[in-house]
Amino acid sequence: MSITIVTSDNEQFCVEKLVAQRIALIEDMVENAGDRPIPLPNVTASVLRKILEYCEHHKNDPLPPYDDGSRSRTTHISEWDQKFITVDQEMLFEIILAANYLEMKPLLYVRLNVPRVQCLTACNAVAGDIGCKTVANMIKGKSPEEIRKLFNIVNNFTPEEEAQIRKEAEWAEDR
Amino acid sequence: MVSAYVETCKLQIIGPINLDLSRHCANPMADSKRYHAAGVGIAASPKIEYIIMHGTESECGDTRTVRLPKKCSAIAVSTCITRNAEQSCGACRFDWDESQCAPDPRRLEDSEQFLQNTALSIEPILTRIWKRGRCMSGVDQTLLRVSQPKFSMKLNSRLSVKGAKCVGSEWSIGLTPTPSECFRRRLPEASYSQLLYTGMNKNSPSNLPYDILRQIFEYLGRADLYALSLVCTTFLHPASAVLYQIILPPSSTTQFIRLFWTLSKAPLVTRSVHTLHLAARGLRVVQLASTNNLDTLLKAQPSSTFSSTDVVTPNGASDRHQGVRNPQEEDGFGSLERVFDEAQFSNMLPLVVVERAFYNLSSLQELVIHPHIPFLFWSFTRQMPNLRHVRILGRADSTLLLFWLAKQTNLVSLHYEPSEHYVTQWFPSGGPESEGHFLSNLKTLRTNVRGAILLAPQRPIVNLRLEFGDVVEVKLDGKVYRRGQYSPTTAASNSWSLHELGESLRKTRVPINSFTLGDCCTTHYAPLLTMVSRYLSQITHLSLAVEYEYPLDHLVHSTLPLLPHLLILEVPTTDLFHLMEAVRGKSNESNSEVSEQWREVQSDKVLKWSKASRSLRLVIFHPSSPLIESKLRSLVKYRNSPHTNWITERSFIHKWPVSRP
Repeated sequence: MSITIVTSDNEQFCVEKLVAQRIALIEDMVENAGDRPIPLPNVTASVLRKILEYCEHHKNDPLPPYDDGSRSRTTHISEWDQKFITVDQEMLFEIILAANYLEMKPLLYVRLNVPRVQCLTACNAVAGDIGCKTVANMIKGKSPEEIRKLFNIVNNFTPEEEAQIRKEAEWAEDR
Repeated sequence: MVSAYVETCKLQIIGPINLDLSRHCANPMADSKRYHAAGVGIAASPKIEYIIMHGTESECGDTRTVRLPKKCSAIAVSTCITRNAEQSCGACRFDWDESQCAPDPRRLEDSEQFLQNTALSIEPILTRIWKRGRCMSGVDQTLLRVSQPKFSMKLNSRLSVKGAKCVGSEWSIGLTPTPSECFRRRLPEASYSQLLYTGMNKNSPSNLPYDILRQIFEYLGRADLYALSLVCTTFLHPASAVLYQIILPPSSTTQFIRLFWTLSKAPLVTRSVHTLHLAARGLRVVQLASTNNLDTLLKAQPSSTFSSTDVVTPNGASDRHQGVRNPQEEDGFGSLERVFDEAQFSNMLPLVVVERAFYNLSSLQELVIHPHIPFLFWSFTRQMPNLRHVRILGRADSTLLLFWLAKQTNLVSLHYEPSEHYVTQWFPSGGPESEGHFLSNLKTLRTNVRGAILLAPQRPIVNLRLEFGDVVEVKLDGKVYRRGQYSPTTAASNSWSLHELGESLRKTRVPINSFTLGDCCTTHYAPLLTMVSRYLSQITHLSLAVEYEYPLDHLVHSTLPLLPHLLILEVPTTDLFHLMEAVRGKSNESNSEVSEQWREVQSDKVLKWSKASRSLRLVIFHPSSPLIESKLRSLVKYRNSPHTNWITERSFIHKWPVSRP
């Protein structure tokens, strides 16, 4: 059985229900939508294609244990996931934002019942693990200036503010 | 709270004003989550016509992107300039209580007059807000019309709201302080324009919601978080929140001193500290007589990037909420800062700074005290309201520390192994034996024999872990059990009667449920398990966190029938991981074959134990040594070797449910 998803740029995707239901937002909407197409006005076709690719690959994964918030802080990413997330920065952040919109974020599920959590946690990794870990890996070991350059961010601190923050947080600086 | 707001959006219980994001939470870090959840709610609620957003100064410089439903024609933004409900009203705590917290009519009139003078037609909304009594004193409001893409209005001398930019269905709203406010709050003048710019830049993580930023930052270490806090204003708060949530020992004593200066001067970030490790070798705590008055210092204006107006003094007075600065107060801490010369006093920390820091650490839940913290550090006697867990490592104990500990009545978990220098007089009134109220809520205790005899009686301890590492000699039923390296001098202070220990453990206020035997020499296994079966026969959970130097299995087997309520048993066993590693590349046996053989052995054990204990439900096998287990956990966490990527926690911690016919 399959369902139809319509993206913000009006592209239609015919997706196996088993795959689509691994996305929390769609799982919610499927019940109410019946046979009608499910609109995703905040996700573009290119991003949805990537997310579905992830869901398709992980659809048969064993269910990971319940995420009680005490996950480890490892930034390890599996080989396939690493390849999957090797995209340009714009796509990376769009995937993270879309996964967040699609409620594929582990934190949002803490309040829900455990079976649902277990059923969805595998896909939650898109936003919660892979995307965030990738960005974290990009940031690791870089100086503020390098981070700004990497993400094209303008320093909006005044020199006085920067000095003040340096002074207050310098206990955290590795020497 | 988050779900409540989302429900509000969906239920639309407020009529035309569908969403009210009034501030109910004192923790500014939580606001971000709330706004994010509200954003989700807005998107899910197509009938919303108006959105009202209340905020406080803490949200200024922040930006929220919401996807507006089609019918939504307006957004109202209010900023609480001088005070807000929970800060100004001590009577109703965190909930706005209309009857007790009447709005200040004069301020409302001023606001109304001000708003009426604007070109925007906002009266209907404001009337509704005020009629519902949701408007708080000192609130200034303005309305952003969707039809006005560019908007700039000066609210008052402190804050202004600048513009709403519409791109497709997305709107970004930013609050920015005026230059004078920037200076006072140390916020960048250009924050709004920058945020709006970065918010629309899809190549930048700065357009990610706060929660996701925080999730990313949680993967990073201290140095990276420090670097992130210096990147831009958007990163400052999430990076600070993660940086300060768990503070592990700083790298040097100088860094430790700097940390405490920051904790004493930045109440907002200090309040986000949940776990704090105290470690500083060679630290000296000094008392400065002229400024050693906490009351004076508490009134001092914090001069911090993170300082906020929502610091409430104990008596509820909050002069700083009015933005009034008392020159004398400022002089209190400022003069101290001038006294402190880093070059000259590189290892000194004024006691007043310690006191002030702990005053600000109001959310601290766990404190880990490493050795070498000078005893003068504990000269202050403040009770930490939220402190639940304390770990005193090594020989960090002193009479002042125990006096301080006696004040922490909310402690539920304590790791404290009294040193052999401990004397009863260290305790405030002759020792914990005579003080029923001392640690009266303690449920989990990890200690040595000395500590168990002292602290277990009269306390509601349900989880006990005993460390026998320094015990030289134990006596039970007239027999003496000595460890290998015996010397009469060390035996004098480390020789214990297990009968006395058992009697003490029986005197807890509630029966002990869970018992863990930690660090122990092999000679003592048998008498200790006998003591457990004799005095703690009611336990439901027994854990042996000891070295599997020689097979413990027969001892466990003989103890099980004497523990009729035991449900869970945790024991060390041969490492499957190391067995697999041993055969890798050296033998024709595959991992699965090794695993199969190992499982058969463990299965036999479980079967045998299940016959010995009728109540047993679960057996958990740990690696042969706590040290190995720690290393394996580290491997799983950091996966620093490509050859060990296959390891999971399950491959070295094995849970075996006991199945019975």
